Amino acid sequence: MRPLTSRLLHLWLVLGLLAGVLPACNMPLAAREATLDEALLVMYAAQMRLMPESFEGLAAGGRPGLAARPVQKKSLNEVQALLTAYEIYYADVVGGLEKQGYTSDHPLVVSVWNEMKVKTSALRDQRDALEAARARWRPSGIQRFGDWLGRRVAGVMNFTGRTVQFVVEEVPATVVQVAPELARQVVQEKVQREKSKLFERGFQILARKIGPTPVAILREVIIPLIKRNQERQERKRQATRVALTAAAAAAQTAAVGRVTPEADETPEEAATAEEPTPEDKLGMWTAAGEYPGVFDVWWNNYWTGLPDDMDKDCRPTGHADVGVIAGAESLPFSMRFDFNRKTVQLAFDGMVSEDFTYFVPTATFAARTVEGWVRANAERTGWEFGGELEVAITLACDWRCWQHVWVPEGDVGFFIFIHDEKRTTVRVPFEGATLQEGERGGGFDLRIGPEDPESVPVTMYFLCEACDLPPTFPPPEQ
Amino acid sequence: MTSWKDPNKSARYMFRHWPAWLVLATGCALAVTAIGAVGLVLTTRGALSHSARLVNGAAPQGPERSPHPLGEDHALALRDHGVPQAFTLLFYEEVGAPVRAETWTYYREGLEIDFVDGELQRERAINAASGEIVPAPYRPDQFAAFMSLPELLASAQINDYFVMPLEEELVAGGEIYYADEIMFGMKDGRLRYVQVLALEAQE
Repeated sequence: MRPLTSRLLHLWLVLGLLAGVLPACNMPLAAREATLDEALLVMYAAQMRLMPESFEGLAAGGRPGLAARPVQKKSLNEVQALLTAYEIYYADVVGGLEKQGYTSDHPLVVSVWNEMKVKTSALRDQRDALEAARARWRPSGIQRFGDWLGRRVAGVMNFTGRTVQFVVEEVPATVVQVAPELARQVVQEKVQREKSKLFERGFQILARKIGPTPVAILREVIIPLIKRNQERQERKRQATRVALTAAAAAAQTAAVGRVTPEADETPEEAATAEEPTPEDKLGMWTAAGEYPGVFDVWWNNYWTGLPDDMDKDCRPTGHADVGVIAGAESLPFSMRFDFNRKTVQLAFDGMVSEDFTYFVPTATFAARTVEGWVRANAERTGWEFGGELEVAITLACDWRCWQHVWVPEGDVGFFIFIHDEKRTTVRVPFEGATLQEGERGGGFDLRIGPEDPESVPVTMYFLCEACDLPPTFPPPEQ
Repeated sequence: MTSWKDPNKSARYMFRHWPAWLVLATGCALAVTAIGAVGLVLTTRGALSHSARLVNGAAPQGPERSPHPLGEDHALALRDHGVPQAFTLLFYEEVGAPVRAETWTYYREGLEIDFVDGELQRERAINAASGEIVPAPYRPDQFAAFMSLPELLASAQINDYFVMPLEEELVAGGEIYYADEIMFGMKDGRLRYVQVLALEAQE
């Protein structure tokens, strides 16, 4: 073989080898750690795509088919949901440090703030990149070809026994409407044969996880996972330093004297190292159901800046005040007593509405316990309990106004309604006692709300008297 | 003079005497053809794999099994409350070690229980359900961390599903799946998230 020909053949062999080796060199990248953030983002994405209200419409100029893509609301960006979780987490950490007496310029606090800046900045960048990608997304030529091909073959292809149908719609509906709807249909496969629906409260929980009031779920589920993950990562980072300074630390400890067990205890361990009480063996009990009582949502001074001119008169009358109240005669909720930890948790959500002559309010609310306690009463015949709730309230209201129409004969106006909607989150105290006389079962009194509901701008009020406890609900140990 | 077109010469002889420009041209043509073919396949595959699709008749192989052993706290919860009516699982790694975070939901009792690596973390009250809850056809122990799609389909006996790929900017290599009363997510073909949803019977 000629030398030049031989060199060219060798060159092709080397190029071929490199073409095979280079991708293999990138393989270890795929083996990096599976992070909590990725798992949470996958979870947020799956939940959001199940809710049709997460989507605004089809991408500009898009047509239904393989090349179409739904546009998600910016407010429901998955990365934003994770960013919110981290912001709450870091605020909790700093708040905890401040409670322990650390000042804002203490190196520990500064370190946490710096870590937060790095983390949240990276998440903001990812959020913006995702939004930008969604905004500029256009179907590629091959996707348009696939779209065309998909229509020709009715979107169905067979692959080794499986039928694969790409989301190509013949009906005049967009993928943005169809994809979440398909997901819902697939998840609810039993709908047709068992007349079932996705449990609404499950959806409400999903909405709380990613919707406007995610705080409760974030605090109860996501934040503890982030906290644990951060702590373990931090311990890993410190491990090397600890190993390097172990000898010096041991020498220092020997010089100072043996560290006492009390000094080794963390504040958390010290707090939980209480003497066991007779209640500890009672465990956990739940009282749940729909309880009769008086239930109201108050929003004082709801209406501000009402129109009041020669044409439209929205002044409050003797029949209505600028405050708004929506009520009900019962409230479904759960009370979870943990006698080991001596805590009680209330949880409820729902909607109430009224139809008054001069205004029509509708309030939706979701309440979770931020602090709760339970203890035996002085006679040990029952329990006393109390605490504080965090309640997210959305109150929409239609207000009746008089629209003047001036004619020679005088004022012949008519009524119109103007609409407003407000949201807030408030803290509301609760307290109660069981009525057991030392026996199992019995009833309980519960009051949710401040002593004087009209003294605060927004609150809720619930009074339940002699409501039923489960028949086996235990009294305190004698 | 020897010609490479001479039919009396062997192929080996002819190959040895190909001119360099012909070897170069043939190599270039083959390379361009190969790159073009690979590019077309990858682009088509990428375009199709980034499209939502319904898959019917996946026909998972293998017997139903329990790929994840349950711990003591799990067993206590099962004893006291039964199989959860809904549950959420997250799989990830902390300092290189796999972590399994679980939330079991009992709507009838108004209760949610959190586990991490099988250890009870907390119990909390949720709004109790008054209607009839249709039991989900899945149990938490059917799902193991980072299992593959065929393993999951076989374990949970799922034949039909709907898959939606995620944007690269969101989770590169991520896909979410929906099937009867369940949704789950994978990254690079490894299970990262499972959520089983309860159904409520309608009157």
